[in-house]
Amino acid sequence: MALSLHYLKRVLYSCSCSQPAPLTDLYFCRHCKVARCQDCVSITVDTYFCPHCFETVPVSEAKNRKNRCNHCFQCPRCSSTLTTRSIIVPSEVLAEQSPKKTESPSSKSPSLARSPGGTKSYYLSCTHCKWSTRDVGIKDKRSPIDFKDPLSPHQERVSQLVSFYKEFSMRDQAEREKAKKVGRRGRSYGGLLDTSKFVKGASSDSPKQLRRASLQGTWNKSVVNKVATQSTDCPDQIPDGFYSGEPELKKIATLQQRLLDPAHQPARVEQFTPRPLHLIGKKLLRCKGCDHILLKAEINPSSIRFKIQQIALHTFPQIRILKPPSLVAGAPCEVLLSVSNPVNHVVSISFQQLEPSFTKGGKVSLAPVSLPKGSYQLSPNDDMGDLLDDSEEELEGEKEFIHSRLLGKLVLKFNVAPEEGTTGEVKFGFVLSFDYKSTMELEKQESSCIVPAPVVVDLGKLTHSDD
Amino acid sequence: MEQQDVAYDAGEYIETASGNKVSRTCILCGSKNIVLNGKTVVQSACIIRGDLANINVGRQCVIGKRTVITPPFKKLSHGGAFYPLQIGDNVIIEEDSVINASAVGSYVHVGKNCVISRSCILRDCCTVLDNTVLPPETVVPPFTVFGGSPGVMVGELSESVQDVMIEATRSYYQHFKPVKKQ
Amino acid sequence: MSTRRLAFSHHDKGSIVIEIGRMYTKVGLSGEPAPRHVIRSRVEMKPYGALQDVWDPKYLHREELYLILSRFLQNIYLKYLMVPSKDYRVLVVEPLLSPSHFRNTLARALFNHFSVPHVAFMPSPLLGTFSLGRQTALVVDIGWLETTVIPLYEGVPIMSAWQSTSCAAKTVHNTVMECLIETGAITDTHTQEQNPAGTLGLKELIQGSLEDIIVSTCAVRSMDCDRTPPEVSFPLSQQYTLCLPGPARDACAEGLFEEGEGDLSLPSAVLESLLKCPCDCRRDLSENVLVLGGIASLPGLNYRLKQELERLAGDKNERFSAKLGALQFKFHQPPAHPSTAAWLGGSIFGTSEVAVLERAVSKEKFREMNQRLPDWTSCDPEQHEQLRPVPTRKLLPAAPSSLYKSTTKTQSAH
Repeated sequence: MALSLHYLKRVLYSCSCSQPAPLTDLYFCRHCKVARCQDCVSITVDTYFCPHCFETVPVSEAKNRKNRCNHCFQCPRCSSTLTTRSIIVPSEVLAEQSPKKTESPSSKSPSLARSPGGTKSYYLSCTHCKWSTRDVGIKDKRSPIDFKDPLSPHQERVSQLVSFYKEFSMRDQAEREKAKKVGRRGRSYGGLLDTSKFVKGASSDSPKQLRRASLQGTWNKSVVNKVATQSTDCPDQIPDGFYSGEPELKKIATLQQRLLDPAHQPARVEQFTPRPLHLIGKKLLRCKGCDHILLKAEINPSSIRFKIQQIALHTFPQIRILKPPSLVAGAPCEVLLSVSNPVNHVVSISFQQLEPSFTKGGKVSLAPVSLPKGSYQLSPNDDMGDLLDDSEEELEGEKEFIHSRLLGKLVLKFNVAPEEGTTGEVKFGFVLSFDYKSTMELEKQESSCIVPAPVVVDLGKLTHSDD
Repeated sequence: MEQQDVAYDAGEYIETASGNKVSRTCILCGSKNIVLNGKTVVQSACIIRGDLANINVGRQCVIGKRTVITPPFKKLSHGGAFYPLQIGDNVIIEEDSVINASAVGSYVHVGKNCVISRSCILRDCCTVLDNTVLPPETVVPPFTVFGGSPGVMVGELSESVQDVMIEATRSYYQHFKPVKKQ
Repeated sequence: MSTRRLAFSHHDKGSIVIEIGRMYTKVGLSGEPAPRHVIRSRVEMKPYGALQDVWDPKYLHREELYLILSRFLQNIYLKYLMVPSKDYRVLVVEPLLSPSHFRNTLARALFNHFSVPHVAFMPSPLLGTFSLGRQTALVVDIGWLETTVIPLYEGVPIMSAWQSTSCAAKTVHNTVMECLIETGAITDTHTQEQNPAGTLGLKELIQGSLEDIIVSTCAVRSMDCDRTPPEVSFPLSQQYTLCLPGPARDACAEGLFEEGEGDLSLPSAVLESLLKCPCDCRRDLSENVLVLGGIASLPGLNYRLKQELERLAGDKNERFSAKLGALQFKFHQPPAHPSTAAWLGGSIFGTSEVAVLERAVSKEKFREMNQRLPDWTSCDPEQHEQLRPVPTRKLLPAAPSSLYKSTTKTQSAH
């Protein structure tokens, strides 16, 4: 299906930071009156929510949960979302035996499911690769939120090291401040990495200082020895199984599966655990120039509406190629571009050649073009547009560059001369200037200004002439 | 690029009073349960299973060739049931896709050759890339792009999707023009 | 005392710790035992959508790097860490020798694009030792392109004993690839047709899953081993299966132990480095070897390295035996996967606000310095004032300033 949607990247507008972007990716700051792209706005996460259950999570909560959802999990094998399955364990069976032996899917045993006084228990399973928590011997849980991300095996050791180094640096700091207060020659010890506090008297030249250094040294030495890892004489050898049999590749985790869980990096499938689903966020965009908000979405995660939405598509006249032109190298070719008006008042536009500096840094070579002269009026684009009959209106005077005039749209003729020997896509550029009428409520009287927008159009490859 | 004219054989399509254009080669099972809300194009050899449950397709949608739309099946403790399927406005579903979702929002774009499995929920303003297989019960949040097999989130959409989709579906409908065959 | 209380009374949020490796980037928050995410070091460049490696040599010295890095970091901040960049200081875990343009551009992106308050650059070998809780270690950092060996004695890097060799992760990849092209075979499961693995088109297929092949099927042979592992059929795609011959599976790291053209092998680089150390710290170092980098997780690598080191050191014909013959080699096991051990050190280090801020450059300072990080080779007198030279300076190879800074006893005015 040839959709206009697939060709959005053919016409690239230049952002105020001179990055090219399709019009749909640009924003427009009404205060600075310039286009802004992803690279010249400051973006922060506004609301956090789970992409599966759509629960909004407050910022502090998200931080505590390490940006992961409490209820939803990701498959450790194929990274799609796991679904929670519930079964009903009858209470009498539960009392008699350990719960894990009595599991039977509810669909297969309706008699059990209907029995009164049963307890629900839950397990997770993947709808794509059929992995389930039972595969790795995780017991069914009473509540779907009981599946927790297991702590890192090194958690304890790491917190020990963290508190050790914290104390270390605090002591260090205190020592130095004391030294500063006493007014010694302002010699600062280089912190954690300095030798002077380890080597007795290395940097001291008075008995007092020597004593201090030695005291400090003893504290450090004893604590350091307690905390430090001991090295081993015989590092691990290759496991026995390596030479004896062909490895079962299905039981060995791929690199991608390992990296999904950086804390455990499971090497084998038996070590898989369900991964809590990562939250996603709605963004808040601010203009880098004036710090005004360009985009703010509604808080509700399933809503697609915005409280503030200043996208360029609502301001800039949109340029499209009317139909693929026939391009012959060395000859002027007529290219038809349509310019559509996004707003419901008249907008006047004009075209200028790009400044030569525009292409200097870039790798794009642009074909020379002769632009329509003078300025043109774009008729307002009413929302009634699609209800009216779209047959072409009478041309208002046979102007040289106007091909046709539609409701809110103008088709103009450009003459592009692709250079001989162009191998890639033929591109040409120009500056589109339009008058922007500010409709801000704060400014009572309408103000208008001319906004220039450099545009580069990609016409595709040269047409091979048959003759 | 502006939407190019898509010519169709005038004899092949039926145009309803509300502007729907449905190919005669489509198989619309239980057509009384299928509601097309106007200006929707259903291209040749589509199958829409209205006999299983109600199917409601919004305004100005485009449904590509050989696409199959089936209401979602849900397993219950005894047996199962089909649930109605609602598809929003300005939705594009390209060729050869299979839709078995429980809901498809508005301004959704589903690529070629996709499988949207049982009970998936596609929210408003999302895109599913070509050749994606969404596992059952996947939820696609707004402004996201899903792709791959299994379908996972691969990107985000710009905030102007809504306008882009309205424009794309509207211009497609306008340029979907009949040609009389001699 | 009152100033001290003030300094610690506010709640410290910690640091963002980021290690941008040649292949994988590790990001997370300080104090955590593992990075939150390990992602490929590349970014999608809109509007054309091509994936761009962050370390692409084509852009490494060009202005475009700023855009690549800022988009890469943008992705990390918004998608992975989801924290406001203004609120957290950043600790960058960098290789010992990082191109200065890369460092400067990274700092520029962090300060200008993300308004980060403080950025500290710390070399990965140094941070690796923090994960051990000790100050003395001989750190062997096996990177993608280069392996660096640096002895750290009581927290001080002995820069004069620094060694580097191009025997690194890429060597392992190349060894396996060559071995596969020579001896491997690919079966088309549809037609049952067998092709040598070197066939055009299939080579790229292997290249794509080479990492997985190594991770899941390979190990490092010990010196006294005479067995051959069985061959494995590795599914490359739905259509093709690679038959991986046994010898390729345990010979993957052989390249690390062979001397190349004008290049040291891994064990000789280690010994060479020890040789350059003062003789009284050699024993402490050789008994505290720490191997960093993803390739260190290959089963048997440390064992083989130990064997090779002992053989070389004991060999009468080699130059090492006189001075290093009596040394014993002991290895450390950091409390993390070897690929994230340096990151973990950064995570531990990053919790200490004082220690990080001491080494960090603030946003204002960076502006004062004309958006350039101090580099030890710089001849700017003002920077020299901040970084007073150490006696061994003339012997040093080019080193990033943060490392240099850590060796100086006097700190810049903080």
